[in-house]
Amino acid sequence: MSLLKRKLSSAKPAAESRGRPQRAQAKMLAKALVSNTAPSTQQSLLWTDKYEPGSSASLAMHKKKIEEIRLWLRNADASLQLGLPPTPRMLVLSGPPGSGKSTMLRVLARELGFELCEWVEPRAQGRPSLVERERGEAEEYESRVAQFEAFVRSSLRTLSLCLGNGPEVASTVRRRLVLLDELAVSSVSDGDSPMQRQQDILRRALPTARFPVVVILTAGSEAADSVHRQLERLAGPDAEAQRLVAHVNPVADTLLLKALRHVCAQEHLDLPAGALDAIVHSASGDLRSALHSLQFTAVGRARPAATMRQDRGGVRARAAAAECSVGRDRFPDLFRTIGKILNQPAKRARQRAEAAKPEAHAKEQREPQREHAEAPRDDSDDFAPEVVIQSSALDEGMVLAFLHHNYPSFFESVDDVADAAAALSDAATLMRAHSLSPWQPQLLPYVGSIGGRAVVSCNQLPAPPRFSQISKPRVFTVERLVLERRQQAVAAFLAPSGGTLPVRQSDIALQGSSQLMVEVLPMLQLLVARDPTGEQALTNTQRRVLTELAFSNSPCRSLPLCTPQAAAPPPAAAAVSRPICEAIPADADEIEESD
Amino acid sequence: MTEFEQPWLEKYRPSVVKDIVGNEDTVGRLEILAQQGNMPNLILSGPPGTGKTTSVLALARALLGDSFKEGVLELNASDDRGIDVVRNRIKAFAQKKVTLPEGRHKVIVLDEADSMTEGAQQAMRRTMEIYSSTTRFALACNQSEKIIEPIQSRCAVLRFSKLTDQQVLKRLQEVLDMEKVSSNEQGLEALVFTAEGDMRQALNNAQATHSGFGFISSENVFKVCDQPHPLLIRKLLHECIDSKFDGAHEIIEQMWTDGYCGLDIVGTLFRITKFEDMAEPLKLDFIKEIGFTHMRVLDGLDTALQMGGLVAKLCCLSHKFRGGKPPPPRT
Repeated sequence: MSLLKRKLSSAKPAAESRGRPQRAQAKMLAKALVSNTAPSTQQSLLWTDKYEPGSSASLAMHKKKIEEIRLWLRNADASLQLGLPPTPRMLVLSGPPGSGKSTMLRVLARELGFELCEWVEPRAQGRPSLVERERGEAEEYESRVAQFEAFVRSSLRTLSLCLGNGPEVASTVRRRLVLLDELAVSSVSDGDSPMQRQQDILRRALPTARFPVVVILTAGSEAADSVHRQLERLAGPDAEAQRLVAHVNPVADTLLLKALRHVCAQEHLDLPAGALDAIVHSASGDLRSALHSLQFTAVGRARPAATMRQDRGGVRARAAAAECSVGRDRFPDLFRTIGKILNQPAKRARQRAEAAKPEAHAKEQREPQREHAEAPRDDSDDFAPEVVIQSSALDEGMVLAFLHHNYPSFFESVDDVADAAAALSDAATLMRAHSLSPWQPQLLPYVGSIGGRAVVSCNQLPAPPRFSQISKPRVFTVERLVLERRQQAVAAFLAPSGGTLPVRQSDIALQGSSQLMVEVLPMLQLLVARDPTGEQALTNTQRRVLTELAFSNSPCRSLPLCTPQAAAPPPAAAAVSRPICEAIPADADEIEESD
Repeated sequence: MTEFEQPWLEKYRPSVVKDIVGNEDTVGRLEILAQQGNMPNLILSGPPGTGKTTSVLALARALLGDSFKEGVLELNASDDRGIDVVRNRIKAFAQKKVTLPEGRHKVIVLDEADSMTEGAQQAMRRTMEIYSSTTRFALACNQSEKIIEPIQSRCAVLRFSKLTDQQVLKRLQEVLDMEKVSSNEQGLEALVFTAEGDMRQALNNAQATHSGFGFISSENVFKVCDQPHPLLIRKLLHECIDSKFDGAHEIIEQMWTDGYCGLDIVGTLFRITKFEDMAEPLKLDFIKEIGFTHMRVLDGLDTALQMGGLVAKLCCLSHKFRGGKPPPPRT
């Protein structure tokens, strides 16, 4: 059983040799599982596999971070071997995708001589694999959670005895690193989910672990964040010493570029200078994605010959590369589209000026034209923002937010800005109507159309050309912040260690924060006031969230109650709980009155 | 009993990469890929009817040749693709032993991948890496942001955009020629208009019109697609621009008695207005007004009065825009 579940680090193409006998054994096993008659020649590999770093020196990662992890591995292993409890036994390694988390661990484990024991999701029952059938275990039914439990138990406590019969195996492989890469992640956190049970298993197994454990979490998505939070709570506050959280940053652009150059040199690729930059830019710190892009861009490009040599000029090559290559990230695309729309009036003005050069009073001419519209306007150059937006495959709401954030700097006259603002607000109204009933997409085209046309056709007097950076709207930050706060509040009130307050998750999640304040907080205040030992009823986090809700998020900043001193984070439990309770009713009244 | 007629869509689905219409950059790249082999994991994203599935299948066919049947696993949203399928079928296929040409890989095509649950996608990521020496993935989806980040990081993302009207028209003409269907120019135009850059829709509508009426003219097409006739709507728009409420309202009434609902009228009006040749500020105002009416109709206020009100407002807008002057005579 344990044979099957363990995927040793050498399930790699056979071409790489590591020179360790037990690996050869494992390789055979891996080959038995992953067999395909097509020989995996070097040609047909993914470059991410082909150029996987072999040593920690060639990892595209900050040296200090590698050292940190290496040190932890050594310490944890040493203290576990000697039976010293206090070092953290579990490392939670988090980071965005493609930042090299798993690769680093594999490389480090190989260099330090650890046996890497990795949890691989088992195939389901009913279709037992070859190995299982041979060993006569096919009829055994095990649920997935049970399999996980068995894996954790066996891998954390006992060394495998069955691997290889060479004499040195038993003596050299004394160290092992347990890697949990593919923990079931789901965004729902109800008590009985498999994830919860997996965590319980892990929590129970940790205190008796004999080998260090690393849990790899891919941060970034919302689900991963929630898992992160749950892992934070995994061992409880008392087990703080058993766990360490390390964060891996996205790969720096310089390192990315270096890695790509290296691969290019190995492949005898001759890409234009701009193309590499573009790939690096659009990968935004994801080495794996960058390598994929590179491989894909390189497809069909004659190896040493230069098919693209003529346009080495940076900008064009860059644009071309960005267009045909792959950019997983939408922002380059987005900025180009928004810029195109916003710059359209200026472009038109230029064209008009070129068409009628001698006309000196162009400005005076345009002004009355707009008010009376005596002649049909001659600038119908078939610019349709709908087409631009559609061909860029962008989300209309995002386009609107960007336009809204950036349009004023492209305008010269205040009246025009007012017109555009009116139209943009109309578009926003429609967007809101859409977001209230998201199953009806019919309104979305209007949003893009009105928004795009607003900034183009209202802009009668475009600002003179100057460098204007298009920036990211703050709406997104605000939205994210709101979401975070809400989750924080929910988490604080649902924490198992806290007092049992009658707040259901759905109540908070469904309502806005103002409703939370108006309806929930007075009730909380009552509860706290009725309970003579109110100081103990709230946990620290709950108190902090309450203070934040009460002081920073409400229109009562001017109230005398909320002096800056009171708004400061609570230093001690007993000292602060009183002022909060006084502040809440004042707060709630204020809102109720203003409604 | 006549023999069963295959849908044109399937009959004329390109089987070679270079036959695929539109998105020249992307398709060109895929073509080179088809020659070279070693396909990376791919995500193809774009609106419906732009050739995502067709290009993946064509690519797989070019790569695998005769072993296409054994070497390709195609799953779409109609197949169960829960977490168990990922764990069982996909993994089993990835482990399967298939004799393939040198340097080629098995291909797993996941159509409509954005409808896969997050859990299923999560379960896929290690599979993609472990078996990358033998198996490659191609995911087709409408919105690439529905694919979780770790999967996106493992794939090269290819974007497909809507086809232009010319591209749709060209292909449509080819198909109609091959089918020897009689048509006139307005009919083709109408087909392109109703398709909105969606090749599948264009072909389906063409076939429906052909089997229903035998001749492709604009009247027949709009009868089949059951939309208000764009010419009628354009006339309505022109009446509004000229501030002739009587004429405009008459058209509305006629359409209403023909049984078109507010959604049909407003939607078509919007699409006509977008590309109509008229003063831009006025166009913006019109679109705004139409948009708000559309919103109200969606909210359930689908009455003839709303339509009349819309027409009246449009007339007022253009009247105000002209500063109270009578409209210039139309040529």
